[in-house]
Formats: sequence, structure tokens, C-alpha cells
Amino acid sequence: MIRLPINLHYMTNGAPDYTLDPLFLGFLDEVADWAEELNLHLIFDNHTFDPSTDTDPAVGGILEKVWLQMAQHFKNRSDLIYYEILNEPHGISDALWNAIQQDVVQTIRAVDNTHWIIVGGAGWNSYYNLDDMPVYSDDKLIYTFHFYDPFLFTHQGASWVTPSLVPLADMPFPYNAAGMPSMPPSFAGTWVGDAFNNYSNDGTVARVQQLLNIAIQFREERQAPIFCGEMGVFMPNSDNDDRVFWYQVVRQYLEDNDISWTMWDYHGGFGLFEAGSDGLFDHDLNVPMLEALGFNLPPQSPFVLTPDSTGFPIYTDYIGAKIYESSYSSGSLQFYSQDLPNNGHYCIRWTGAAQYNNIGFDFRPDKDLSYLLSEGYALDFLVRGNTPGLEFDMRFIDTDTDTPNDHPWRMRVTIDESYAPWDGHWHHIHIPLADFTEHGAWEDDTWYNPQGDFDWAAVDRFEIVAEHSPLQNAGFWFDNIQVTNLDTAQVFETGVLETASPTAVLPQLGIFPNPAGDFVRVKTDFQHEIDWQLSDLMGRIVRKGVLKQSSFIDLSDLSTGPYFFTWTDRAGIFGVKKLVKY
Amino acid sequence: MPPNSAIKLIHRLSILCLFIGVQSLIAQNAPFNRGVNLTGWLQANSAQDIQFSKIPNRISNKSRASAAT
Repeated sequence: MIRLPINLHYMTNGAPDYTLDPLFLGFLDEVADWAEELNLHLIFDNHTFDPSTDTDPAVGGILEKVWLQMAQHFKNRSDLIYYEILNEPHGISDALWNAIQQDVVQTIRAVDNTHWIIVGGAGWNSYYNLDDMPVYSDDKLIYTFHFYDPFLFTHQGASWVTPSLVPLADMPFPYNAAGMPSMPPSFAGTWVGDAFNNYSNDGTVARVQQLLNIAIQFREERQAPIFCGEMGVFMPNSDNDDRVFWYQVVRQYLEDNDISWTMWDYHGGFGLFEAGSDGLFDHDLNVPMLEALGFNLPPQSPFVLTPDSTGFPIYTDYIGAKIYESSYSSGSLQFYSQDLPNNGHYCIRWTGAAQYNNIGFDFRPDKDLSYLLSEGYALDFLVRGNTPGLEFDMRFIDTDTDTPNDHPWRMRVTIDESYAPWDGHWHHIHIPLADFTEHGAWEDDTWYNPQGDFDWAAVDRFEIVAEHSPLQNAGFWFDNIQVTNLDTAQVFETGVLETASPTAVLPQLGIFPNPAGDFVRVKTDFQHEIDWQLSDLMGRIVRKGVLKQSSFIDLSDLSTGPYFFTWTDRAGIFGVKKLVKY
Repeated sequence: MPPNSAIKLIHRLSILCLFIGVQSLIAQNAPFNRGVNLTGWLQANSAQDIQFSKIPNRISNKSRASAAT
């Protein structure tokens, strides 16, 4: 089964109606279709969640609006679909939260009496708070709790805990005196220090089972199903054998007591892939851990990059498989624009970009395009521009290896009006890969002239770049971008889109590169300082600070995976961008 | 009550007790077993920021359908 965290409140038009974006409901429909095809149980987990901010006592108004729409939309779906009202409410009294939750259940039941609803206690869905929940009258509720004990074991290396647990490593599970690390000096006199000193009691299998018994006792008293919605061990500083043992112990006890569970998380620091791997499903799964969890695994094999033998889509309504968006652009960039697409339902819409901004498509794993090059394959796409005189580059960038003097070499073609007039109409362009020319490389603020070193056998990404000038209020649209040997694409949509209807000009903020390694640069055109914070998928703040115009942020001690960069300025302008660390 | 009727009654009560027992057991368990939190996919700032890929046969089917219309 899948617990699918969704930032439900972000997927609306905001106050006062909180109307869900039809695009988002369309995505959820696709996911629900897949789940039903595969007979997978699917929980829509409302993960609109910020641990640094207490749950708003007025959140009930939003929850009732979004869940009424969700229930209306999914009420005729199979029983495989579940609703989880809100992940980890905290900083709110049990009484108030439980009353809010009751109202949301009733709101859902006004239109949907079929589907199970997952409810949880305040206090971060702690098992300790289960007993504070009232006896709800609804008989299709599942009571959730989260389990991360012993905390010093499951969160060793975590930077978002106060005091930081980054200095803590190799904490054993179960406890053994000879295997204990020294207590970091920063723990002295803190609750973490107390927990460290008490680890001989807390770090045992018996204690884990004792804590899980709290949830089991709740079930027996209430005669209601319970569910461990989150459990896991942070990867970076933990010993893998001990980590595997913890999963084995917790999973076994849950299953021996008929308690369902979902592990946290997928691709992040608690995830199911080998530490430091590329996270490829057929190559990088943490087999011992997943076997301890009782999963059936696909065969694993070392990844070997082989030449692509057929063409592939880069964008056809959606970004192609094993390609990840890596754009760096101010202005407005939409991948699901309904501005008269030529094919399917959507096209890419790009306006307001500054010079050197790009639309990025990161190949993961890298691609070997050498065979397609030799066989005459081409980059094929539809494009529409509305401002004569502009030009942009389309380029492939190869992998920057550790070889001395290697750089991320670029192979490009410049698209100007010799290819197509920017007259508001769609135009089809077909450019053989062999017609691309080497451009050079940019790395560490240094330009390198081309040396004939571009490697078609190890291509890292494809980009569309405002290389020659800013787009300002001009717009470009793209559709059906493919690498193919067929020159048969046609213009279906003959309507003219004359204006780009640019979005309001607000101060912009860019994060580069994204995905990022150990460092990332944040640039803004705000004229004053802004407050920012970086939080992980659980909403825990892992970095925060103040910046003006440009700053580097050190990510070196953070685990791989997605993060959210949130900023606020003095005028109250705020925003959020997703940042991925690889 | 004739003996065979008593046996039938006991038999029916047994079935009823068994049914009630099953219902009680069902009530205590969620209808699923184990799984994973599929994180980082739909946890975006807006729907436009969500990356959605499709398996190739789905893309080709939809593309064909949309091209036909």
C-alpha cells in the first residue's frame, strides 16, 4: 500500500474558497487509476505541515473546504482510496484538535459514507495522544500513530533537532555498552544528554515493544483499527546492520499484533535505497533492509550505462520517464500550460526569463546518445514565439567527470527566426543531433572554450536556454519535444496566441544548481534582506538565515532528497521553491 | 423443544457467534498490511510544480487519442 503525502492546502487558490486546482485533481486521478489497476491501497495523506509552526487553531475551516472537495471528487472510487485528514498536528490542544477532526469527519460524511478516514491524535500523531481522542461515532475510522523510538537511534545525524544530533553517530541498536559512542559535549545538560544517559533502558527491544503496546492497548479498549503511518531510521550516521535490525524488530512486532504500517520515506534520508546511491529502483535498493521489512523485491543488478537504441520523449504533456526537471529560471515557467497546445492537453509556457535562465531536463541516469547520433536521430519539437528578433539555444550537456580538465561540455544549436518566425503560430523544427556544434563549458565561474571533448556517450541533461538575451515580456511555448528519427510531426493547432500575458512582475529568487550537490547558490533581485529557511519533507527546518541578493548555502551534511526553500521579505512577499540535493 | 431443533439453534448461534467474532476481528484491523510513504512527489508548492511522468504506453495511447481529435 502507498501513503501518499500531498500538500493539499498548497494545491488550492487560497482564501477564502480554497478551491482545489483541477490540474492537481487530475494528477490524483491518475494515481488513483494506477492504484486501482494494481490493487494497491492508496492513502491521500494531507501533509500540509510545518513543524516550526504550531497547527493553526483555525485550520478547521480550511480542512473542511478541501476535504469536502476531495470527498466529492473521489466518493465513487473503490475502497482502495483512503483519506488522512492532517499529518502530525502539534502545538494545539488535544481537545481543540479532536473537535476540529470530528467536524472534518462529518463534512466528509455529508457526501461520502464509503471510504475509510484516517484520524490521529495531536502531539505529532504520538501514540501517547491516542487515548486523548474521543470515541468518534463513525465506524470507518482508522487511528494512526507514528513511531520513531528510541529517538537517539532513529534520528542520529539529524540536523533539525535541538540540540543538533549531527555529532551523534554509530549509536547502536540494541544498546550494548561496548558499542556506545562517546556523548558529544554539546549534549551535556540537555534533554538529549538525558536520553543518551538513559539509553541502556530506552535502546532495547523490550522498550520498543512496551511503547508499541500503548497503541495496542488503545486498539483493544476502543475496538478500532490502528495504523503506524510512519516509522524509520535516518540513514547518514546509523550503522546499516543495526538499522536493518530495528526495522526487523518493529515490523515483526507490528505484524505479530496485526498492525498495518508504512515506512518513512522513499527517496530521502530515511529511504529505501542504499546510502549515497543514485536511487535507481532496479539497481540501488537497500536489499537487507527491505527484506527485513518483508517486501518482495525486483532483481537488483549493477547499473551499466548502455547506448539508447530508440528515440525518447523529453516532453509530451509530461516530462519523459527517467528525466527530472532541473530548470533555473525567473519569470514564469509552466509545464502544464493550456495556451492552445499543439499536442495533447498541455504545452510548456516560458515568459519573463532573465538572460542565461534555462528550462532543464536532467537525465537520471545519464544517457548514452552515441548510437542515436550515428543513426541520424534528431531533436524534434514544436515551438511558438510571439516576439520577433529573439533567439535561444537548445543544448545537451555532458557529464562532468573527475578526469583532469574535464568540464560539463555543451553541444548546442541556436534557434532563431531562420528556423521559424515568431508570429504566434506553432512551428515544427527537426534538427539532427549531428547538426549540433560544440559551444564550450562553464564551471566555477570560468569559461572554457570547446576542445572537441563533448561526450555523446555520457549526456547529463538537455536545456533550453535564454543564452543571447533576456526574454522580458516575450514568451516561448514548446510542445512534443522528442529525440526521434521521424520527421513527421505536424502542426494541429493553427490558432494564434498573440500575447504572453506575463505574470505580475514580482521580485524573483533563483536557486542554482538545482538539483545541487554540497553547495547551492541563491540569488534574488530583492533590494533588501529576506529571511529564508530550508526544511525537509517532514517540515523540519534544516537551515535558516538572512540573505541579500546572493549567497551560498552549505548542504554538505544534509542527506540526499528534496527540500523546501521558503523565504519572506519585510513587505510580506513570500514564496517556496523545491530544492533537490543529490 | 425437540432435540433436533435445539441442535439447529445451537448451530445457528454458533454461526452467529462466529460471524460476530469475525466482525470484531475485522473492526480491529485496517484493510491493508504494509507499504511505504511515497514522499517528495506530490509535496510541491503548487500543482504546476509537480513533475508527472507516465509510462510510455500510456503516453502513446493518449497522444494517439489527442492527435485523432
